[in-house]
Amino acid sequence: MEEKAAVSRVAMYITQGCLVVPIQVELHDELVLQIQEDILERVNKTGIKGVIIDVSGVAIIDSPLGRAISDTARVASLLGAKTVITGLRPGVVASLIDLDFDIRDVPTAVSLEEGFRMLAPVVASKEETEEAEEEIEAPEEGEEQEETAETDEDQEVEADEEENDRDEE
Amino acid sequence: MTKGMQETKIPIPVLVLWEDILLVTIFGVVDSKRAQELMETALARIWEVQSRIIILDIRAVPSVDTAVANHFIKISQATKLMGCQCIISGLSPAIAQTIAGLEIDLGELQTRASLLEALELALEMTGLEVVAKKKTAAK
Repeated sequence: MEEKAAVSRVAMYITQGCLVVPIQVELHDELVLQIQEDILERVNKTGIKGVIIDVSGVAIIDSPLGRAISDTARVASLLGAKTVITGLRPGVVASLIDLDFDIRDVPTAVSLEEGFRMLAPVVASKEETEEAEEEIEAPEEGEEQEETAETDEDQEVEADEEENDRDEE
Repeated sequence: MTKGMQETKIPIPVLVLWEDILLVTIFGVVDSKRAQELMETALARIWEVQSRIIILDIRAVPSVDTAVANHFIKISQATKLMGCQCIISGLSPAIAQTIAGLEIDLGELQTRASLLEALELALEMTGLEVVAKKKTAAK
């Protein structure tokens, strides 16, 4: 009887408004799929705007794995999150270049810090992130829409006031 | 080759020019072996220092043909993949003409005529500027 080997889950955490996925083990197809699912589930549930996939613990990335990583980034962006890959090792880079693999559509950063810096413009404000960290349950869609509507209206009112001020001058 | 003969490997120093900015000065002919060494050394240093920019100065490279140009393009793609932008400096007008004539897509590669200009670009890209010290007013 074949027993399915227990596939260790990759622990991910949220900090500075980003979902950080540190991969410290060698990747294989099944694990990559699992990581992909976990990331997308977290992005969907928390509405996080930035994802950092750190592959500094990975010594080998071949074309299929590279493609799986860039697929994950593409789907995450459809869900509203921008992905940055950090920690690509020299050996990994050299082989990806030789394989002529193009992951140029996914931004890469030289360090975790640089990854956070690149994502800073798109991530949610600190307060929203803290709420997301506390509530892993998906927020009610209705509430979110109302909040956005109010902000738009506020901005419209401010714009009108500015125009009126200018007219008076 | 006799056992007594030793291969002297010319080291490729990759210097930290400024925080986040590396500098490599390349001497002589860049064949595929040298290009490979250059790429390995550069990537290893980028990994170690985590710099965002690497300047390759080629003032001492005598000529650039399609092969050499492609080596540089490959190196810049590799560094970019690691998250480090490559700038090539020290292009002579002759080399610039040669490269333009080859009609290759340089892609991500940035080039400048002088190291000074490359440094200016690197500083700009890392959000820095050089400002003169204020002189204290004479009493």
